[in-house]
Amino acid sequence: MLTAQILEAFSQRISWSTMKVILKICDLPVGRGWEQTIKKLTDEESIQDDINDKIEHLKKSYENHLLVNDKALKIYQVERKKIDKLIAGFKKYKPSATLFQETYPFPLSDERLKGIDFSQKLVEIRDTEDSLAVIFCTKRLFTERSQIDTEQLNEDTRKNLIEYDKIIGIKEHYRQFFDVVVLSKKQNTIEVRVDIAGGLSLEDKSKAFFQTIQQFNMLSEDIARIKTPLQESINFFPLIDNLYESDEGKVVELAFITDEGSTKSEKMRKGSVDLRTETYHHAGKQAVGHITSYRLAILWNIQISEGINSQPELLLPGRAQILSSQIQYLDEVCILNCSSLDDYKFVVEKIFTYLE
Amino acid sequence: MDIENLSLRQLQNLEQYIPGLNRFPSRFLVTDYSKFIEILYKDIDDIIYQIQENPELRQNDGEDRLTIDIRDQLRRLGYDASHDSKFGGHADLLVKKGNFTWIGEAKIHSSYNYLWEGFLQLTTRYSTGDSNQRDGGIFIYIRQKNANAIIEKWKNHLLSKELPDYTYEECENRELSFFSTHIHIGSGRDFRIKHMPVILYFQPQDKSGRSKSEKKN
Amino acid sequence: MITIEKQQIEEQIHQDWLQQPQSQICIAILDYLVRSNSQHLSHITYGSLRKVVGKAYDNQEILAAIQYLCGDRTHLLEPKFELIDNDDYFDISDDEMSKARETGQLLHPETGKLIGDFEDKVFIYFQPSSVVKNLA
Repeated sequence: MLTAQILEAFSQRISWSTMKVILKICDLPVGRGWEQTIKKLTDEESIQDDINDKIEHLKKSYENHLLVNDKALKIYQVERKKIDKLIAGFKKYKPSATLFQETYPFPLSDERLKGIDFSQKLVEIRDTEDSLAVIFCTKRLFTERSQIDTEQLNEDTRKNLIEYDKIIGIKEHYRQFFDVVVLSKKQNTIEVRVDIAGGLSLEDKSKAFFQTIQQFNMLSEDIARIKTPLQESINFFPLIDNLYESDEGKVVELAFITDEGSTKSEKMRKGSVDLRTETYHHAGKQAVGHITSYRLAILWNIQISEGINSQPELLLPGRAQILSSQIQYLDEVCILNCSSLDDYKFVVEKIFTYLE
Repeated sequence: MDIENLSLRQLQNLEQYIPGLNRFPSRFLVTDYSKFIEILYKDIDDIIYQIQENPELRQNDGEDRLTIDIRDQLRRLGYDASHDSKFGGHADLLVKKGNFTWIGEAKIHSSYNYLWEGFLQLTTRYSTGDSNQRDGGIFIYIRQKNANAIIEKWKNHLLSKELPDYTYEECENRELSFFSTHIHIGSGRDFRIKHMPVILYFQPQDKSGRSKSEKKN
Repeated sequence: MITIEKQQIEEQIHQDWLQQPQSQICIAILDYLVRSNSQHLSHITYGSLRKVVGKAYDNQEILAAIQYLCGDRTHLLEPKFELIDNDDYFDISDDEMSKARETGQLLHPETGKLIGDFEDKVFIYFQPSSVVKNLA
């Protein structure tokens, strides 16, 4: 059934708390966890007639979600003329058939995924009021690490491993990722959004960007005869201090160094106060005069309607090395936990406001 | 043992050292009246067992003293418990949690008519008998031998009174306790009372006194 | 709203615990809650309270005091539940906790999966109660 399909696709990609927000926006009932919710909605789907509109809404949410959640983002400033030419070219282009289209927009099953190669495939070109989105699907190797409970192992094995404090198991499996390049009709920007739903290592993220940028540049040349439109992306580094100094949202994570040579990393628990006002952080900052930050996570609590709140988050994932270069350069950000296109738009607008 | 964070499992394990600790999470998760009563009675049973361990210390205690002790033990568990002797000078115990109320009456057993008086006092004190005041209890302090026989006779005494829609049932947690239910005149609703004997029989020569033989499971 | 004085609370604690160590333990916790910025105190662990109280008391004594302070009689602490998974903390609502204890399965707030055998992973922490926040 359609609901089961939509929810199962969502379950591989977003947290349960974000899913609850989306279900509420669609006016659908929420059960106790994924399984019970799928069952509840599948039962209702077969009984009630008026639920079909809501399920359509849910499907639309899923399709939109592929564009915005969770993404690592690079933004390129490109001349209006070029972008318009790209839009015109891509609009007319029909993506060739790929195996991904068998189930698109839903991901392929693990079984099917095994039989595909690792190349990135263009699957959809979506034309909206604000932009033209070029959507790619790629199979990537995804590593999952978890701690092994030694109680589960047999005695001999346990004896052999006795000196180890922790045993970590690594599972490698394939996942389907949805990367998107968005050509804005209103701004003179092109966004490269790499799919990081479920988490992606730094190395894999780099590779994903490289792959997507290269692909898009090649396609641009083929389709619109524009060579390498994506060259140098925006530097997001000034956002760190600008947002920290502002009253915006709630800072939940900050990493910084002090001139006395220490590196600090502070994180606030969900639901706690803003790090900026936290007693310990505040006192520390007063004591040293200034701190030099390189990593910041900030979230906003957006009231969508009565009783429905979403909490999109912007992460500026710098590393300490940045601070030691002549020019501090942070070329990507991550936008997480969006429940809708609006959430994403909200965060991007903040980016531009605070970059000025 | 170094505990940094307190898990539910640890609370369960520590229960043997601290009375009622395993019920700590349940106590503050209470959302309805019957759950409140269920946990309260378990806590009260623990307190009764504790009192019963030293009957020799209780031989000269009056009703007030005994009830105050129960009140104090309940307070230490965090209950909003109070002892009120405003009404006609008899001992009673009041436990509140938000809108939930439970009242207890204490009687030192001398005769069944005396217990019946206590029963009536309890029933009449519930003027509304609304849904947040459906339960009450009687502590029957027994200094005589053979508490079992006394309770059986008390049950029969109650039956003979032919109260409107009277029923009784056993307590599944403690053999000697029982519940009586009848229609409360004021509200026209069910009023359930738990009858809880507190065995204080003590004879110095009789070392294996009955009071020590009842242990909690 | 009834405003309570700190002294009234101290008197009540002494009345309830007399000479028992819990008297001092409760006073130490009350002092800590009053002198800290209670608007910000949102996650007090058991370990933290143990530090506040000092080494003279054992776990049993401290826990009995905490149980008391979470109750209705002298309500200074608001108990909360959290799931600690690897090094991540997730708040569990009272409602979900009740359901979990009834059904034997806990709903993980992030993954949306039902977990059995959760008693080792669910922990209690504390926040100051409204009584503390409104102290005269």
